[in-house]
Amino acid sequence: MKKYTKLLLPALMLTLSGCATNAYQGNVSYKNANDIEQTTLNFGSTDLNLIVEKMVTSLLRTPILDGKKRPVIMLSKVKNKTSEHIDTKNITDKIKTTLLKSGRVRVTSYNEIGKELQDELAYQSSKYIKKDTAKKIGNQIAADYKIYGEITSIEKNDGSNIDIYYKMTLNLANIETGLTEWADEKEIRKSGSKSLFSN
Amino acid sequence: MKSIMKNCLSITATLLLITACNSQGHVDPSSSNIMKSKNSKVIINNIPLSYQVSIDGYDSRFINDLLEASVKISSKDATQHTLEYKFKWYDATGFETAESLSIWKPFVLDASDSIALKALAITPKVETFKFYIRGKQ
Repeated sequence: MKKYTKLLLPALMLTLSGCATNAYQGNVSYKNANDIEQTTLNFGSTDLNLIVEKMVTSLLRTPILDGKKRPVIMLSKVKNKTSEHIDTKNITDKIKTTLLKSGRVRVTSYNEIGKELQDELAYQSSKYIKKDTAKKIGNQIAADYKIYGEITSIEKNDGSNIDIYYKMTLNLANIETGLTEWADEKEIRKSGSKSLFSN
Repeated sequence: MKSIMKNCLSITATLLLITACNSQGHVDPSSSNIMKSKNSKVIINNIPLSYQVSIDGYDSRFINDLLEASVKISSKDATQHTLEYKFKWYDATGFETAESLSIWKPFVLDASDSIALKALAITPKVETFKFYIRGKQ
């Protein structure tokens, strides 16, 4: 009997894990990416969209992005100072994409893929590349401004009710003068209560 | 010239109310719960949400050549309402643009309170907007 129990338990665990991965099959449907998601209290797609919308529209109101000139902007990673895992690159990527769609800025990529660009330029200078098609070294456009920021949170939990407050702060610094030319913040507060049967 | 043209253009705004419930009026069969205006004038659709919430007015202006829209909402009763709203943006030919920022946004309207919901188009191609409001889904 003990021998069968030893075999039965692993088999049962394998079956249950298989069920878990297949649990949502047949119950899957596509949703609108811009709709509000309320699955958990954690940072989610709606929070990401709300932050990007606030920050981009705030930036577009500044005289720096009035459309007369197209400044070159560098986006650096947003610091995550919350207690949960947030892929902050999602935030900066979406800000970059939306700003580029506005046509009001140019965005440099040398802070993200600088090494790869250098390697490519070095390769293009080699004997393998047709000389008149090779790109010249020394023509990259320097950034005028740098966007940087952080996201913080405050969580309150009394055992049955949870309240989470997020604050995202973003700044635009003039690279030459070091001055902060623009700053804004977006606050999000979410609350929820535990159900009777949750642990 | 472009700014003069924009200032002279009558900015048509169609204000639509959408609820999670079926509307009691005429409904565009291609999009349930949406009532569309044939002549693009301002309309306020008197479906269930409007008994609790009213649209008091709208305004628009240009900032850095970008259209900013503002819609004023008021609560008609003594209940706090959790609602969602979004703006959609259209260019001069009526094509929707800047869809990535047409997101549903949650907000809370306190009892007997009023709030101005604002949004800014991200591209100068935008000439008109539509406003949608609904109960929490």
